Amino acid sequence: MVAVPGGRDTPLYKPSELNPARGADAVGADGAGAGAVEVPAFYLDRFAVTNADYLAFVAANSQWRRSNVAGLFADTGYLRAWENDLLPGPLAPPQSPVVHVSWFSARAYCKWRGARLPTTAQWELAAAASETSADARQDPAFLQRILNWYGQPAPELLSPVGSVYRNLWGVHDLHGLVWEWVLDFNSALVTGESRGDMGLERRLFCAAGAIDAANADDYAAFMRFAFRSSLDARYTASSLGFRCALTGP
Amino acid sequence: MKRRVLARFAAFAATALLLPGLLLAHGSAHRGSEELPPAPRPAAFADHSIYQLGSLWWNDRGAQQPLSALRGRPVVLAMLYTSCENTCPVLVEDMKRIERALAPAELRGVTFALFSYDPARDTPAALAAYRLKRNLPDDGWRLFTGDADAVLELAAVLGVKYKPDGYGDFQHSNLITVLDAEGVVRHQQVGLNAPAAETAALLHTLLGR
Repeated sequence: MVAVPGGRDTPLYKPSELNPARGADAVGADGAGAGAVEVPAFYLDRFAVTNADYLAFVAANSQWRRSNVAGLFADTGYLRAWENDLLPGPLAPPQSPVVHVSWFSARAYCKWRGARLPTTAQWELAAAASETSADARQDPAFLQRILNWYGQPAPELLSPVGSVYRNLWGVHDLHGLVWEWVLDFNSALVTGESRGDMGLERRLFCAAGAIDAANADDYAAFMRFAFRSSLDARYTASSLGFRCALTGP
Repeated sequence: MKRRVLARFAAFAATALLLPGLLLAHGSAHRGSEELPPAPRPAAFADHSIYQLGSLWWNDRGAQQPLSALRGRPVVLAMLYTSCENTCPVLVEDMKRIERALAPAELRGVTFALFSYDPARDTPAALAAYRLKRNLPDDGWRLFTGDADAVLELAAVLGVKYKPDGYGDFQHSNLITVLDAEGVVRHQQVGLNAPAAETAALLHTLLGR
């Protein structure tokens, strides 16, 4: 793991403006920090968890092998590309990120290692860094690179970890290899969500989310937000992996 | 060729990792030799039972209980926090509407459970105060608070979304979930002020009426 310095994370969506007193209070001294939260320094895996790493986990924890995993904790796609319970096989190279893992399984892996999944705020803070800048979220070239990756179909064989780019903090491939689970993936509430269990009665919400986002230029951040909001904890996918984090020094 | 190399690697990794496990198992065999009778074990949980979570909660009397303490009866369940002034009371009223749609004999077989999002402020005492404020009967209604991890996990398994806003409030889904006696999600009532008929009909079925 490497240390990622703390910083201010401005969530994509601001907290409620139902309470004007809070609204005023929420605008930071720089005028742009509405709803910003201080993220203390933390440790983050340099690489996404690989098939070889994950094999060690399922070898030691039989309840997480493909043929044993409870339906509550993973859908039927769990480790689909693996040849069998203890053999990742040719479609899941040892040094490529493990995918087809659920939130429950990713969380269990990190716990097994004495760590946990990064929060959305931690992940976004680490992923804001380019090779040379701590915060490249206003850098058009960096944002375009992310969007270009989002626009490409996932390859059948994922590249090894460490093959995309290394950011300023020494964390590799936060963009460009796989999407990654975060601890609080289920904090992504979309106003007016089609499921209909929220948003339609916005005014009835405890702390209803405001619709205006913090950085409208960061289209890639919207895509990540939307992706997370579509996830279910049992869900697995061919380009969804994870890495672990630890509370900082 | 490449395949064989990978297979060998996998076999090696598996062996290397299983080895310490085998040693451990061997070590514990000494204790096993005392031949204690096996502890009575509850029947295995259903594949989709949320009681597999194993999280621990405190009720409004300050007693700690595993989630699986609810096993054995159908449960009508919602997540909320007691300082929530807007939607949460509506959610409780929706649950009371379901309660009113059941016969007195049925009510004895159903648990109504509220789980808090707010570990910081929803102490057992706060839950007890909420029970009084919302006039929730002692028998039938159970109130629980847990640590942040237990809350996160329960919300994840129910498909409930929530987010602390940093000022003591939470944005959250408004969902009422029905579990069968084994803890499997059988129905979710979505949104506020929904009619109770569908949920009540399912409960009639689960209660064998």
